[in-house]
Amino acid sequence: MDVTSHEGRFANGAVTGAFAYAFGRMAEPEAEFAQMQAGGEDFVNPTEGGLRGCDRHGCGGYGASRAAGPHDGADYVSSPGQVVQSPVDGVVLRVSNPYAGDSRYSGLVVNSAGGHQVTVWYISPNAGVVGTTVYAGQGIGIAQNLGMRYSGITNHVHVRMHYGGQSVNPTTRIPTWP
Amino acid sequence: MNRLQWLTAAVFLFTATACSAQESPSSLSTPDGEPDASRLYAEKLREGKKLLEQKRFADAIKRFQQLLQTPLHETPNYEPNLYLAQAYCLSGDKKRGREVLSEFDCMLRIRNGETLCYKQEMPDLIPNEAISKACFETMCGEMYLDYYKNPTDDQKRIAAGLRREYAGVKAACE
Repeated sequence: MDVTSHEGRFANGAVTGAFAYAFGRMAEPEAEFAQMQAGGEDFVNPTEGGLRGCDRHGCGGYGASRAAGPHDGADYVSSPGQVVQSPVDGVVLRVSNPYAGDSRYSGLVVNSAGGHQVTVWYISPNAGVVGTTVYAGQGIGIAQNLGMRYSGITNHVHVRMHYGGQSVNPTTRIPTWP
Repeated sequence: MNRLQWLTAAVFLFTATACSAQESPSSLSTPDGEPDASRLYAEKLREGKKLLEQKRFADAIKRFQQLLQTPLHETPNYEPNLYLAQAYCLSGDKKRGREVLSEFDCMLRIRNGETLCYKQEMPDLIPNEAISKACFETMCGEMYLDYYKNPTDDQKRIAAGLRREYAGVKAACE
């Protein structure tokens, strides 16, 4: 796998991106990803990007500090305009709007066959995708440019995951490397 | 330990230190040298309050209006409305002050979970029509709902403090 392919995806700089990638792999042993196979589910990184590090607006990890409370999701680095993949096999339930007052940003809620409910924000959903059955890795939308709302932020998609009504750290399911 | 092992250990230590510094949410500086957005926001809010104390109401109004135009990362931006209302009332424009204060009251009720953004959340979200447009657009959206349902102790403390301040501003606006 080419580490340099991650360079430039982080606002923090190419070196940071490479180190975050390398350290991310060390911090997430394969054992954790055994859970990915629980119930026979496959999980796919929606952007094939790394986990967002920290920038002037905050950090991208699950539980990271926000003024409103702990970050209830994980941010996968994206490039505006790129295809965003469904992280799971499932059915696209509906469009989800993260901000009532900012219609530029949207997302999708996907109910997985194995019981996970996954919300992917900061994507423009593909036309006609709501109500359809999708597979993990299938394109469901296009990554949006967050810089219009948050100047200087690392572009990303926000993935929120629930299982059995409880919040789940997406990085225990979805790898942060391609 | 041979040279390769030393090199590996050194790279690991450097990497761990660099990543640890980046991930610390309390870090005040950002890796790209840009000012921390939430810190900048808090500083401008403090400056606005200081303008209020100095009775520079027109400047304070301008400052709070500017702050309200600044999106806070995945956080509803409503707090300056309290001080904007106060600035209006103290400047003599009590009518405008009461209007802004009423919106703030709605926003704080949503933050406290006393008022719901949506009268139905599943399978589709149906907005609570009893909420004003400004209140809804500032406070609602799926990003925020879990924060309102599960407020941290810190958030409860902040909201309680804002409610006390609200009572004081309301008295000033009567």
